[in-house]
Amino acid sequence: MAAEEIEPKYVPKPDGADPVATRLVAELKHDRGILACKYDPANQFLFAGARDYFVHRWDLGKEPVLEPPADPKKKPRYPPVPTAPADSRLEMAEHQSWVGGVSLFSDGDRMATGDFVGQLIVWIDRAGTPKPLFSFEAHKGSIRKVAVSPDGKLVASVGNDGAVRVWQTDAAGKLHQEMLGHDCHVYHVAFHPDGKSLVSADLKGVVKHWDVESGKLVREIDASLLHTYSVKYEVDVGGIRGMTFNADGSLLACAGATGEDKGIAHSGDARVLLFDWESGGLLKALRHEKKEVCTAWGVQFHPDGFIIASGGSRTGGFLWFWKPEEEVAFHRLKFRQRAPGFDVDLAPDRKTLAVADHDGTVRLYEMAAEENVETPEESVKT
Amino acid sequence: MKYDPACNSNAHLVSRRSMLGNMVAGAAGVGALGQLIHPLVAREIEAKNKQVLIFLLNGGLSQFESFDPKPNTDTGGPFRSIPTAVPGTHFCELMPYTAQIADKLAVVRSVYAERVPGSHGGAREYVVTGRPPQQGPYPWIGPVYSRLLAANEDLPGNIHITPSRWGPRQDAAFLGPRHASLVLSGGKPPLNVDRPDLFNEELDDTRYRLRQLADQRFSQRRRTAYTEAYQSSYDQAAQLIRQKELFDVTKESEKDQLRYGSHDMGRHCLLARRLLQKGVTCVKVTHNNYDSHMENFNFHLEQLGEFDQPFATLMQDLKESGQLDHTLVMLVTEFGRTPVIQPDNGRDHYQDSWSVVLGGCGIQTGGVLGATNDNGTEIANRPVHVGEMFHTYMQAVGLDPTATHLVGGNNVPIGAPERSAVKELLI
Repeated sequence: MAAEEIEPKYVPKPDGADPVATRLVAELKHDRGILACKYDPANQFLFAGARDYFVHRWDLGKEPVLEPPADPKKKPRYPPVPTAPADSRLEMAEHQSWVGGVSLFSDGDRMATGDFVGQLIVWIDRAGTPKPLFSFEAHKGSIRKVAVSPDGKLVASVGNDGAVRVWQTDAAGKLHQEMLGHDCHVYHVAFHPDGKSLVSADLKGVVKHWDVESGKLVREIDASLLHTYSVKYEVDVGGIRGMTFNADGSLLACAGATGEDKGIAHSGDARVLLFDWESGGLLKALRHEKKEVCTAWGVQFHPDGFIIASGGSRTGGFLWFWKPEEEVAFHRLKFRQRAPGFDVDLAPDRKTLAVADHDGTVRLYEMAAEENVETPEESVKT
Repeated sequence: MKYDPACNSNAHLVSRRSMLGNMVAGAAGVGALGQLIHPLVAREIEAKNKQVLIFLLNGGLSQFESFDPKPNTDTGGPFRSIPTAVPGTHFCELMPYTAQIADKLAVVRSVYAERVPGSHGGAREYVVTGRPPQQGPYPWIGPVYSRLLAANEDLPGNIHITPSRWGPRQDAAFLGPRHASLVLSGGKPPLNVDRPDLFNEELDDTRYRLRQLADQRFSQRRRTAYTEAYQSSYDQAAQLIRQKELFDVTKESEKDQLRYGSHDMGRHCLLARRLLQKGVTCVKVTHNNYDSHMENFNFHLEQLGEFDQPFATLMQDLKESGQLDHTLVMLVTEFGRTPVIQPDNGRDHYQDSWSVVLGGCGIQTGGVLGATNDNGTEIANRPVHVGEMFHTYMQAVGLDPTATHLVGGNNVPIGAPERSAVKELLI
């Protein structure tokens, strides 16, 4: 009898990424939790916001090194991973609180960052000696995210004051449009790839679609699956933590957690909602095959067609991979560390992922099998 | 069953206050009686006009996000510290209104306790009894004030304004249900406080007098703790029905309702002011949702955003009316929160150090006692045990915490005997 043929869960495209083979390849270490990370399109630098008052820039050209084990006699639980040398990290000082919003201009020179006390900074010479072009108070209270328009002429910011503000990028505080209407904290913002539309997303799972030029509300998209109202505690829990468009703008993904009312001390189950942009309809609520009590914090579309999310809770951190047409993840990678990945970004090589981890490290994962080496033990196929 | 004031059996679990809270006539399960307990100490005459306002920030207020901020450290959150009315003293920016009245407060940044069984419940009991819960049950501080300070027999001595869906607590222990908290769940008046349409006031009074006569006749031959509890319950229920406007915060001016805010905490603070003005001895206001194992910063932003302004407004009003001169204000929480920021952006329970705030009568205000180290991981100066705080709460209103309750023939110290008051906090 012929051996049963097992259908692979994902077939990589020629020269494409192989998410099932995803493995940890380097660690960029810091001592504060990392909240956001973005690759430089030239793949020269990685920029991050953290639980401190700096924007951090790692020079990816400096080769990570294997550090000697702390106790050579003790067998390590996991194979050692190369670490970026200490001098590869530059601290960009100017912020007055944690930096949760990081977005790069496509001009290779500028970047925008926002902090938890409402300060927005546009930096220049990001690849050289970065310095603020200007900074100003963009929101009362925290800025949660910032987004630079595709043409680099605008930067959008959202925050705890419920406002969505679009700023011109040629001078400080030049307001292009203010969009009001959220009745709670606004957690995320993203420009549509056409540059004409903007989406903002809030604690209650409301996605608002705005016309960038007029500032008018076009429609709302219902992502309230990612929100729970705790009746016992009389509070809103959850919200949209990650949000992004695919390259052609036909799909919108929103990440978070859904589930029953567990009060204020426990997360729901990780979910990524996939919407058809044209209709605004929900296509899929992407999930792991088992209950995953944690939050999906960051989400990305891969050009090969699959979707990646990072997340977790105190019980563990994960990367999930989905095909857009299937609700259940075809692969999940459990992190070595018990810490969630708050953000995920795809490198220009399309095969490397950067994950911003709670434990103060940006970890780089390669979506390709190491030559002549079996899949690492921590990679759990589903 | 013989009356045993220290008994904790289920037979005593239907408290008189819970009955009053629902205005239900019927005291089948009513147990121990405060009237039969005779404390050895004479009531301090001068303490009789003292009142107490307690704020319980339930779940465990983060000291980092309130009274002991550590910005730009590995443990500090995203929020800044701001100057207060006391030069050199900073609070977290989530408390801008409270910062403006810091001169009317005494902040203790170095409170600690041992870990006790029962998580929140156990820790809370430790804070409000001054004793670890496994030694108890001991009466909570509200019932103690009701027992030792309440002068007006027509009013409940101890009212607890809570978030919705909170029921009565068995908090009076051996002091008896007479002193247990009358719980106003959601800040609403007790249920069924309206007289049935069937009776007008005259008819109801007649009915009440008839019931009294029957009670008296019955009691002449069968007087027990239960019959007294039964009679007392009716008496207080009748008083509450006559004074139902006591609980009606809409009787306050529109201007004041606006000043305090339309959310629950605003209404509850205004109700607390009303109850104190009407002469209630001890009013406790509980504010919820500080148990922020997850999203500590979001929840503190929300909760303190609700708490800060009405609390400061109430303090200001009490000061301007002169009531603060005879009212002790306590802002307590069952424990603090961990310096370490947990993976879900939360902070866990922390009993090694947290902050307690006092104000009003008997308190040396306008300063900070104790300190934690640079990143708040440990107490650096003047540790203060929760048991010492309990003694301080007593002494501030002129009560002697080393005196005793007489319970079933035994003397039970009011405060834990191994502790004493924090003298630096007292005038």
